[in-house]
Parts: sequence; C-alpha cells; structure tokens
Amino acid sequence: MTTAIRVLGADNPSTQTLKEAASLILKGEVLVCPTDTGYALAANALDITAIQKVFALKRRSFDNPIHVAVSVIDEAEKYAYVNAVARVLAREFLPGALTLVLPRREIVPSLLTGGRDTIGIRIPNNQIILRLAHMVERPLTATSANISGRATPYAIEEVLDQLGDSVQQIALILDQGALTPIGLSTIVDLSIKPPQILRQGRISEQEILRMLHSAQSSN
Amino acid sequence: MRILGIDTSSRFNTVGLIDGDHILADFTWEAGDSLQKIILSIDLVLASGGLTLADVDGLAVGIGPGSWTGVRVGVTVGKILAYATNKPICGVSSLDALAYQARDVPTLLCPLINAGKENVYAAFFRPRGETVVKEGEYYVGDIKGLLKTIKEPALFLGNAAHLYRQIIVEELGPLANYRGEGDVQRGSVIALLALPRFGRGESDDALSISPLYLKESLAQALLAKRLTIS
Amino acid sequence: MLLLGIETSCDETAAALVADGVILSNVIASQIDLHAKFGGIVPEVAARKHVETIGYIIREAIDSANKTPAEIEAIAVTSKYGLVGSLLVGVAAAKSLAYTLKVPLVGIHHIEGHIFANILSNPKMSMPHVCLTVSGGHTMLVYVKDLCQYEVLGNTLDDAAGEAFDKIAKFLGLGFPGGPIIDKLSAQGNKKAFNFPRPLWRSRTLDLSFSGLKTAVINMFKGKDSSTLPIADIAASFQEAVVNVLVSKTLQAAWQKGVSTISVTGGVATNRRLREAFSEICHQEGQQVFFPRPDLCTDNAAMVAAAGNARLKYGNVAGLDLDAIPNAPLKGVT
Repeated sequence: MTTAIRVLGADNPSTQTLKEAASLILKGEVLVCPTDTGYALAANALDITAIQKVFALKRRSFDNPIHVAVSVIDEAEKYAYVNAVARVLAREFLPGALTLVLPRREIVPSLLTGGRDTIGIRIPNNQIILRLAHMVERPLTATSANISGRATPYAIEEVLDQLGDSVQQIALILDQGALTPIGLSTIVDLSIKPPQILRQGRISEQEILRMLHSAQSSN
Repeated sequence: MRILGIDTSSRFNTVGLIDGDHILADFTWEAGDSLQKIILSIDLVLASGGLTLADVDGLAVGIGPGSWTGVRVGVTVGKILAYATNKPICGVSSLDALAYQARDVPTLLCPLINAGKENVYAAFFRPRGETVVKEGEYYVGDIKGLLKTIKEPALFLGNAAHLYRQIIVEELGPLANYRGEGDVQRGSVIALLALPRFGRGESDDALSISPLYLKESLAQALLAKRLTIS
Repeated sequence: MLLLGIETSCDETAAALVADGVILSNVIASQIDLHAKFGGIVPEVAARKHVETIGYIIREAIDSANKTPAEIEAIAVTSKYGLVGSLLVGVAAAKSLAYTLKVPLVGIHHIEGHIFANILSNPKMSMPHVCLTVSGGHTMLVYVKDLCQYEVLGNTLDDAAGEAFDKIAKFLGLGFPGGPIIDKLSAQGNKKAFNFPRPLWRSRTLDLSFSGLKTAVINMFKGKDSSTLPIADIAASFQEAVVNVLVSKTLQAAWQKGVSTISVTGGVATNRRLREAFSEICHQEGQQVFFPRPDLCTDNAAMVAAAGNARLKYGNVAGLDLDAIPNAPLKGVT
C-alpha cells in the first residue's frame, strides 16, 4: 500500500480529505496528523489493533502510556472521570498544550495506558486533529510521529525520515506544512491530591498553580 | 416672532424660546460628555410653553467656537430641523452670545472660551444701543498673547475667564474685571441675537451652516507644515 | 414601509430610502480623496466633513427617490460601532428628523448593517449562515442564526484586513486606500512568489490576526530600494495570504456551526481574488457563498435601512435620547 500524502493548506481546508481520514481511522488505520505540538500518529484509541500498530511504529515500550486527543472536554467524560479542577484548567488552557492526567474509565483499553488506571487527555489547538476527533467520535492517539526517544517532527520530511520503510503502515498523511515548534505539552496529574505537574512544557507551572489556587479558593 | 435657540458647544447645553424680545423659556443643563438629551430638551422647552415645533417661526443655533464635537451636534440638529420643518435658521456665535449677556456693562467686553492648554477662543465687543458690536476678528491662541493687546479695563466673561483668572489678574492687574455670576451661553440669547437678522428678512442657508472651528484639526495643521503623521 | 437609512460611522456620509426590500435611493458621499492626502482616515477631518454633507445627502436621498420627507415612516441610523465624532452627526440628524416627522427611530450597529447588506442584496440567501464582514475598519465572523440573532464567533486581534492592505500599500508606496490598488496590481503579479505567514490558520480559534503577516512583509523588504522590488509579486503574494486566512477561518466557522451558507460582506468583499477564492473553495466544500452587489459592500445607508426594518419588526425602537456608542458589541434581539 503506498501511503498518500494529502496537503492541507490555508487555501484548502478540504472536508473531503477529512472524511476520508475519518473513515480510515474507524477502520483501524493509523494516520499522520498535525497537532499544536508537532506531527502525531493518530489512531482510534479504543481499537486495540490500532494501538498496537502505533506502539510498533514508534518502537515504544508498552509500559509507556499514550495520551489521547478529544475535541471538547465533554467528550473526555466518556473516557475519564473529569473533576472540577480539570474543568477549570480546561476552560483556561484548552485547546492548548496541556495534558490532563485523570482516572480512566473501563472502556479505555489498558494497552493504551501502560496498565495504569489513569489516562492523559489533550485538546490540541489545531483544527485538523480537532475536526477529525469530532468526526470519528472516538478519542485519537496523540503521540508524536517519531521513533521513541527521538526528536519531535514538525514537517512531513522529518516524519518520513524517522519512520523510514515503516511509513508503509501509515494509511494517510495529512500535511499542514511546516508546523511552528511551541514545545511540549505540560502534563498535570489531577488523579492525585494535591495535583502534580509531571512535565513542564509550553504552559508554565506558575500559570497552572495560579489557576489551581483560584479554583480551590472558590470552592 | 417665535424663535427657538440652541447651543451645544460648551459643557452646558442650552435650549431657549423667545417671542420677539420676550423670553418664554430657557433650559440649561450640564451635559458633560453626553450630548444625547438635546432633542428631548427641545421638546421639553416647547411643551413648557404649550407649543410644538410647528408653532416656531425661526430657529437659531450656536455655531461655537467651543467643543468641536459638541458644536457639530448642535449645528446638525439645527440644520436638519430647519430642513424638515422648512423654517428659516440663523447661526450665532457663542462668543457673541456671551458678550450680549453683558450688554448692560459699559466697558470693553472680552468673552473667553477654553481651547485647552492655556489657549482660548476670544473676541472683543462693545455695547452699543440694545446690543453689542464686535471689534476686530475672532481670536484663537495663547491667552497671554491676547492679554498683551488689552490696554483698557475689560470685563472677562465665559468659562475660560474663570479658569484662567489667575493669569488674567497677574497680567492685567486692575484692568481685569469680573462679574459675580457664572457665564454660560443661554439658548434664549442665541435666539435673541438671531432676531434682528430675521427681522431684516435674512437667514442662513440651512444645509450649509458650519461650525466656527477657528482652528484646523491637528492633522490638517501638520499637513500644512508638511510633517508626517504616523 | 418606507424607511430612511442614515450612515456616518466612519468616512462616508450616506442616506438611502428603502421600501420593503426595494432600494429607492442610495446616496453616498465618500471622503476617500480627502483622507488620501493624510494617508489614512483622520477622525476630526471625517467628522467635520459629515456635518458639511449630511443635510445634502439626506435631501438627495429623498429627492432622487421622488419622495417627500412626510412620506417617511421610520428612520434607521448607525449609532453603534465606529468613530464617535462621525456617529454623533448621523445620530443627531436622525433624531432631529424622527422628532419632526414623528416617526419611530432605530439605532443600528454598523456590523449589523453589513450583515444586512447581503440579506438585502441576496434575498434568497438563507439563515442560519456564517457572515464574514471584512473592511478597512473591521474583520468579524458572526453566526447569523436568524434575522437579528447573532453570535460573534471571531474578531481580529489586531489590524482589520483592509487596514493591513492600507499599511502594505503605504509601505510599497502605492497610495490610499490600499485594497483596490493591491487588488488591481495583483492581477499582474505572481501570488506564489512569496510564501508569507498565514497567522492562526491552523489553530481552532476563529479570531484572526494580520499584524504578523504585515510585519513579515515589511521586515522582508524594508530598507531596500523600492525600484528594485517586484511590487506586483509582493502585492499578489500578500493578498493571497490575507485571502487564504479569511477563507479558511470562515469555512472553519461554517463547519463549527454546521451551516452550509456563507455570507461575505464589507468593503474587502469587493476584492476580486477574495471572491474567486471563496467561490472556488465553497464549491469544493459544498458551501453556498453570497456577496452583496459592490455598492452595498462599502459603507452605505441602504443596509442600515434594511437592518432597521428588521429591528422594527421586533419592536426594537430607540428613544429620542439615542446616543452614539463607538465600541458597542454586536448583540441580537434575544
């Protein structure tokens, strides 16, 4: 199977392409999709076969969980227990480069979460992945399209460079040109008390703590 | 002849109504930045005399100088009312109105309207008979420059006279005179100044009445000096 | 119902008579030549001009429709959104007329006027639709659920699109206003010559931004001798970036709201490349796109009368103490 690359430009939003992408995802395929933190491998996060493909492509260890992207915070309720603090952070920072780690619901395959009982939820600030997530009505894997441990790709050339021959396992590549590197997403664990910042990324610890404090004081 | 006079060129907006030289009503209020009440106030004044707009024979509008925004509202109201009612209209200078209000004082009259930053709009008047006559041209500029030209006792009128009182008294000493009352344009006076013109069958062309700005906008002035605005 | 519309929110003095969707007169006095020598609109200059022309414009609108003032049944005036000194002149004129003629008065938001410019021009355009109003002074995306029912979806965060055209035209030494000049010149240029940034086009926000694009163009060519620059190519590439952003954000909005009808209004809606791009993409995406006729794209009073007509049906009448509000948000009736 040759992998098609569809170029999505500012002058070409192409609903047709997205419909094609959505139908591939529902068939269990893995796609390359732009996000606000670089190009990602997008697949149906409820489909175990698709999840396995993603791990294989990245040569990632199964105890390293994969986070998911949804289009709106209400969608996340289907896959995680979204608490009030999460909603406060979502309102302030999402869509954006923030990953909320929350207790997962049964429906989420443990293969996705590395056996843990939490799941990382993202709502990336990129209209392509948001629209795709909305169309398929499933959470999408949102892990970078690279070999585990290597640099995050911001252009399709970099994706192709990293994946090499394995790119044949990708059903479709959505090319939105050179993405602006804004850094990694900040990861906040909201499944524990007090919430803890697991990784400092684009959104600073200060901003998050400020939001957390104001949320607590209004409760 | 019933004349409705309005002036919105200062912080105090005013509407007045006269019948010949008899004042029927005068309503003056502090409008501040809010020019929205002018039409309702016109209606109020007319109603207080048991009249409607149709009963008025002529209109008079203050054309400034003063607040550019304010005077534009008054002039627009005046010209459109004149057009819609098909009644004659005269434009009256607010400085003339201020001087007229002191026509009983036999001295050089100097009404001042604030133009900001120690600048004033001004003119000199002398009482003559039942009215006042302007001497020279309207002035806009630095107040000290104006004061240097005064060599006789003068009665200072208007909001700027009180605002710059200290400077005036410092510069002119005993030549500077003041009255006790606050001096604000009154709509009835605007109308009274229009009366003799109407009496002579004169009026202004409604649609072309313009405010008396006396000063170009900053942009125009800079353009004239060929400086660029960024 | 015979409505007189009055519009003085920026630098055009306009009056129009409209009766039940039929434009009987549409008079506009543009101040473009006046402001051209300043390189841009000067509020004080604009306001002074409005006072000079307002009476003539109103009279012309009434006379050229072969009507008399007494036949006017209602008056609509732009009272929200614009330069305050300019708005005040139209509002003063409208109140004076409404008082004299004893007819209802409606105060209209300038953007609502633009939304109605298209409804008036294209009666077949359905609702709900997404409306992009794009001009020298505004760039706004509005969800028009029904007549006079709005949700503002996005706004420019800095320059309006038309403003960006003006600034780039000034930088390239092309004169004012920039839009029509760049539009014309671009036809001779290569729109792919330079790949200028298209700000925000990837993100989910429906807000727009043009100052980054403007800065990128200026930074790339400043200090260079303008006689050596490929002006037509720069103009065409810049225009293409603006057009791309406008089209993609509007389509994004339409998708987000689930509508298949798009309305593009405002002065920049006369831009040929914008119309071409919208028509192409909308055809591809299965969207219907509508533009007003050119004399209703730029500021005019017929659109204000049309908006007034709709507001009257909701009983949205103003008092004779109607004020001008330069920064009013766009609000629907509900």
